[in-house]
Amino acid sequence: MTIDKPVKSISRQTITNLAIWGIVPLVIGVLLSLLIPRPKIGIIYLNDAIYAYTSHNIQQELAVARDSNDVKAIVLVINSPGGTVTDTESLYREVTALRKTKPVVTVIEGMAASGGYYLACATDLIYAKASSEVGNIGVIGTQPDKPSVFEDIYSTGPYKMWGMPRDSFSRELEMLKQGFLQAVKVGRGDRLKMTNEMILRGEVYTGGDAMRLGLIDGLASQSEAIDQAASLAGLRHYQTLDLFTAAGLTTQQLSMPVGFFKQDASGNVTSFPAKTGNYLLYIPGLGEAQ
Amino acid sequence: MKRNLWILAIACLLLPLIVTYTWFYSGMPRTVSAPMPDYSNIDFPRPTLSTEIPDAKPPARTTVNVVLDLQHQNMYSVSEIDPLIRAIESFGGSIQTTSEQTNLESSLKSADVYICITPILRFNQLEITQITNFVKRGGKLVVFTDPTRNASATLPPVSDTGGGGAALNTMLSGTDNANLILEPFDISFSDDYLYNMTENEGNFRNLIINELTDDALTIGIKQLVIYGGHSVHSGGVQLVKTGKNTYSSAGEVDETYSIADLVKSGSGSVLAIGDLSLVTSQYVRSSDNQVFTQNLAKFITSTPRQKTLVDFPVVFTGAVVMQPAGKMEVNGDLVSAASSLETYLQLPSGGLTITQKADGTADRILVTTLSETDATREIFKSLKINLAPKLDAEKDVTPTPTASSTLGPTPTPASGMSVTGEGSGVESTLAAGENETSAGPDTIEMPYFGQIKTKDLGLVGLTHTGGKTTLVIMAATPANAQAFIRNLATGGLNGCIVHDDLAACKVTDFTVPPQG
Repeated sequence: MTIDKPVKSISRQTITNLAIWGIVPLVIGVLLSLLIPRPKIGIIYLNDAIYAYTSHNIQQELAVARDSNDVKAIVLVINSPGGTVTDTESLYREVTALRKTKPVVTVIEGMAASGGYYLACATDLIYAKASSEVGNIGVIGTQPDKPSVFEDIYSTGPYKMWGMPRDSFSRELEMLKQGFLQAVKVGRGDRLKMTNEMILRGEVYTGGDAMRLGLIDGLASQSEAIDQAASLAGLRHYQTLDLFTAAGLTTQQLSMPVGFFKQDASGNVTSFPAKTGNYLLYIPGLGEAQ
Repeated sequence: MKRNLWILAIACLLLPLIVTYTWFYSGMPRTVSAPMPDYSNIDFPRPTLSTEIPDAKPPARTTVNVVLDLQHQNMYSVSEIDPLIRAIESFGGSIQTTSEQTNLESSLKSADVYICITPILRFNQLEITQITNFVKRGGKLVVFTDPTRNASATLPPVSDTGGGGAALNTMLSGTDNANLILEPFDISFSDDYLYNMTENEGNFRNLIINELTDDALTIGIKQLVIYGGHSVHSGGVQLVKTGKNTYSSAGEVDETYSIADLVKSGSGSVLAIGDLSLVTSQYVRSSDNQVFTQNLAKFITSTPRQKTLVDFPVVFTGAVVMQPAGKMEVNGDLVSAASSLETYLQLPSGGLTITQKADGTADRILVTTLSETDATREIFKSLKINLAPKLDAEKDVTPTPTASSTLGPTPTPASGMSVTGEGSGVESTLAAGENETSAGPDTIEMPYFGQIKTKDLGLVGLTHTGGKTTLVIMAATPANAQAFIRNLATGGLNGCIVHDDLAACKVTDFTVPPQG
């Protein structure tokens, strides 16, 4: 004799329970997951000398990167011969501060010389191409004119017009140089394989040499550098974000009366700064133009 | 049951979050609180400046004539080497600068020292020879170059196809042209700059020098600072040398380099210094630089050059006495001739006095006939002039000079003039009371010329005794001597043969005093 067991059917109660205790939390979970920041790697491009205009723009972009919850890491793409001392130091400090919360990686395109490399030293990692020009660590400046007086110009002190005695000039330059040297040593740490004398010779190295000397961490493309930044930030999937656009900047953002570089009589841009002063700048062929 | 539902709910809630998070994130970010350079403690002290050494009181009379080259586009200004100028003047030096119009040969005749600083314009071969001979005659040559003193130039375009090309901008260095005048003495500057990355004075190109060779130029110096220097190479004394870790931009080799070399050449000397900053107002107070400047000024003004006949007419520097000797008498003709000579010799007005007897306290012009007297004996001896040579009786007494003669043709003497003496064996001393137009010996013997007829012969000699200079003007007769003085006062030693300190010339254009 067989006894048929009654077939249990999914009752309405079960379905209700599944909906309340399963699907609703799932949907809530999905909605909550939308609040998880979609990570982005912020890209900052420096394709110019470092001076007031470019420094202002980059500081704006760094501000966006700092304040944005989405931006988890920053990649600096540098192709710069350097620039003014103060603007370079200003960016250096901003990047160093940002690095406390978000990793920053540099990838050098054509050149990161002098101030460009100074800025790169503030980042976690530095990458370049084999043919990139890296280094030129040092300061360059024009000695002030000999102090003199004029019939129709009065000032209230002997160096009001000239800034400093001529023999103080080289000392000031040496102090700036020491600051640069310290920035390199602090930034590169044990990775650096150069003596102080070697560093301060001011040589420009190609990417391969720079890697062997510890000035950079490796040879990499921009996308590889971005991957490295993502790795430092603990990211698996991400998007990139051009911070220049994100900051709402345009090329006409600031109306600068003159560019950084001097123009010759024909209107061609030279490699010399338009104004005299102290610079963290690589100026090839300067001696011939004197 | 209830519990299971809660577990289900929590799981469903967390699942999308976990999936989303793990999709985008692999771990925690790695950030670093990076240290900053210690900017506030970076300092570079200024060096202590040395105490200024006051200039010595200049002597009443300058004794050394220094010629400063300014005719080769020299890359400096006289005002910036004021410390050196003042030191030279305080030690009795007189500074004379050249210009584009200056005749270098004339300048060097009066010079004791020639200073050339960073020349950009090329020295021509004649100038190089003149400077070389100046040093061999006892002159001092001081040459400065400096790697910071360059000039840019635009060379014209050159094209092999003749189709034109781009102009070439280049840097002109003073070393090339400085080396032209140093090459005869085997000295050269490298076209480099020296630097030291570890021990320097405020910058890698400012060298601190502690290695100095004992010499009058380095007395009292413990340390010098060079603000940009060329290296110098020579076979002479390396006075100022670099220490360890010094490199040359030319070779990038760590070795000892010289920045100042001293070479003796003949009676003169050459000092090559690869840095100008040592003696400039801006840097002279650094370390012992001003001691070096003072020593350099002493070296420059140490002793006046002993002049030679090549320097004629500039053989005297102060007042001179003219002493007639032999058969010379003080008369109107002699005074007239002396006056013209005074001007030609560039003596100061009133600088020439005529005296019968010189006391040896002043420079002297001795005008004499070819006759041996107390006043002339030693002179002829020192000039090795033999007034009574042993003539070969079979040979014509026509002299065969050892050097080719540039003497002109013999003029026809005025009538009544007796200008030739007897043949061999003519007495060299005329008896007192003889006719004043009587000639001395017919033939004499002297170095470089051998035996030479005295007719129409004028001789000039230069001797130095006891620090005094004697210019000896000699001729066969008083009339010839007076005419010869006028020749010298107009044409100098042109047309004469000059050997060392003896010159042989032809007396021309003389007038013969009336007979009887």
